[in-house]
Amino acid sequence: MVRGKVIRVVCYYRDASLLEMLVGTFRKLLIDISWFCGGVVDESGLYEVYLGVKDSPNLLTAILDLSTSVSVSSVEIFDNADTSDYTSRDDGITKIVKIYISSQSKSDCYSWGERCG
Amino acid sequence: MPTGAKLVVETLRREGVKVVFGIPGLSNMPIYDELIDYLKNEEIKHILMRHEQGAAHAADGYARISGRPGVCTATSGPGSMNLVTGLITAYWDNSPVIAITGQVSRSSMGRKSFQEADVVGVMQHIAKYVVQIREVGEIPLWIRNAFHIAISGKPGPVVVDIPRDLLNAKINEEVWPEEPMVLGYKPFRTVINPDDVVKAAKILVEAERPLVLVGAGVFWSDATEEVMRLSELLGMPIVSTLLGKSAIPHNNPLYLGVVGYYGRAEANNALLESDVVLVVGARLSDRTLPSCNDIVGRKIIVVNIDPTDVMKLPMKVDVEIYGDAKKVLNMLISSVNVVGRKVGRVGWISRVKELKEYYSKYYYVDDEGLKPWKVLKVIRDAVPGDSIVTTGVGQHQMWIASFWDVFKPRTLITSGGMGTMGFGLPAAIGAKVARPDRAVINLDGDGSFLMTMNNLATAVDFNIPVITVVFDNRALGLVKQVQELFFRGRVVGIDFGPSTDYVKLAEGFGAVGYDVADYEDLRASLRKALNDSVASVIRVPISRDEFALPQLPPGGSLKEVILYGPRKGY
Ligand SMILES: Cc1ncc(C[n+]2csc(CCOP(=O)(O)OP(=O)(O)O)c2C)c(N)n1
Ligand SMILES: [Mg+2]
Repeated sequence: MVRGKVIRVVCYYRDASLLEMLVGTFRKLLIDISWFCGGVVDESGLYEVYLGVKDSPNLLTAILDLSTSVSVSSVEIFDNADTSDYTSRDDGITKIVKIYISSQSKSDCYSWGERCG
Repeated sequence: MPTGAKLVVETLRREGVKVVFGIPGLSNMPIYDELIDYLKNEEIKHILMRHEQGAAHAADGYARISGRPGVCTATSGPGSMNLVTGLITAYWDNSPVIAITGQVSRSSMGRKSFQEADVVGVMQHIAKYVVQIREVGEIPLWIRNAFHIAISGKPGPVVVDIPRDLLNAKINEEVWPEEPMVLGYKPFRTVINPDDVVKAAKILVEAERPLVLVGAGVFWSDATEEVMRLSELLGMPIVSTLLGKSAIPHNNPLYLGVVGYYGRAEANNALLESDVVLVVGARLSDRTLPSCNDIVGRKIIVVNIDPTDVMKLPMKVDVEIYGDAKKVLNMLISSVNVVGRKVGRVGWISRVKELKEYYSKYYYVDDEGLKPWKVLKVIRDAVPGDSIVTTGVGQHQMWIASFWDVFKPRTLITSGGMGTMGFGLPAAIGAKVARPDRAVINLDGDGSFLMTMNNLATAVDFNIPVITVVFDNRALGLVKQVQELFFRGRVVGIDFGPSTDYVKLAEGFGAVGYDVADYEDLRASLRKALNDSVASVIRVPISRDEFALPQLPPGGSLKEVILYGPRKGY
């Protein structure tokens, strides 16, 4: 288990450029992403992505930029989420990241210039 | 059965598009083929540019002057890639441009096929949105959406990339969307808390030395009248960003000029001496406020469409009001009237006048050769008050920032955020197409002009009689200036040789060329050029040793304004 900042992005999928845009928003601001997972939630294209990010002086800017990008509905920040260590392969079985987020750990949520939730 | 290309053109018409700036090629040719009928009926015009960068700048110039989206088109590969500089220029200055790009057929993708380029990958970080079409039936909806995204909230460019096989594909039944539908997009809302307006009004009324800083938001929201009324009501001097300059008529005695990196010294000083700053439609970029410490310690009220601009600021803001500048200012004016105003502020107004007078002696030095400030004054006096001016980027742009008088709102357009050399001529073409009734003058640098002057051919072919004045210092003057001031005088890579002949160059394109030796020549050439029915180029020789001052040192404070150069007389 490690503790870290987790970002949850609620967005709408049209094509895979959604994910490039999302990751690029952090990359442009020199923010490292330690892990990344997500997927389609429903038929409308609703998509949910979780990212583990390193803290950075640019993080707020990245979150605000993302929260005002076309296709993105909201961006939430969880300050003390527990995640399992990411190991790529373990005896032929792929381990994926597990995230345990308590609702109390949510520190902020932004959606198009408004604070949400 | 309409084709995808027909859907493109018909949707553009339904969106009210009157003109498309572009260059055809294999992948957007189906669109051109469908355009023929619309050209014949004169429903849509096509302006053939000489480089796609020019097409994007022309669409941008059209948008900034008309307030409606400007449309450009390019083919796949080199065509679309040539749009890049133009699109990021529009993005940084929040201009609504729609780019329709042809793409290779879906079956050819991923094989380094002829003129294949990853438009979405390249452009998604330089535009407000990029969409690639996946099915022919969705073309009308996505073009509709593109217009909605481009113009709403904070405006910006949108790219619609369409594979060629979809342009050629036929559809049984077209569906014209009633409304745009973009999931995950919310244009910024105007939600005004009346308590905030009253709080802002009280702060302004109580202020000793209030100042309003006007940004491009005032330009886009057409809030000039409101800014002027509030300023007059409160006895509140006005300063602006470079883009905000176009929103304020300079014959207003309370306007002090542009603030910031290349700002007027009196504007910078007024900001330093103020106790309350009302920031309207400006994001306080590093150009406007290189050092945020300069504004700390006074009360700050911000009116802005995008709340995240304020959330990003590293300073405390006393009142934030989010929404369209015109609406917010109207409420603020009513509130000030209710709160009651302090009469006078005589001391503050006379201090500001004193600053203006004090610094004039540094600006208006007249000696040998044609002085940039005086050249601008001669041009200002010679052309109608509502003439539209575009610029390149460099010293000439900074002289315009300091010394060009805007008389009517929306009559100066320049690349502020991106600082793109080559913006001037194509943007002037777009502006003239938007307002054929106005004189349009591109005040350009020699370096900037040479980057996109190929579009002079377009201006001639299409009878778009824009006037270009080239500030010919045979140099990349601003780079030279920075080398002289901040690189210990080590001047390198900035000299242009003597051979370029601007008169012949103009004539070579079928335009009219004028060479100017003195101010009287300039007046005479302008008089002729204004009556010419073709585009013209007026070459004005400027000493390569002129400086564009005042300026701040890079990253410096407003207190560190540099007023004169290292050589005597400049
Ligand atoms: C496309 C582009 N390339 C390079 C620059 C960097 N740059 C800024 S000002 C300048 C010189 C501009 O020369 P000119 O247009 O002749 O204007 P002047 O400064 O001489 O008035 C340069 C090269 C830029 N802003 N844009
Ligand atoms: Mg030059």
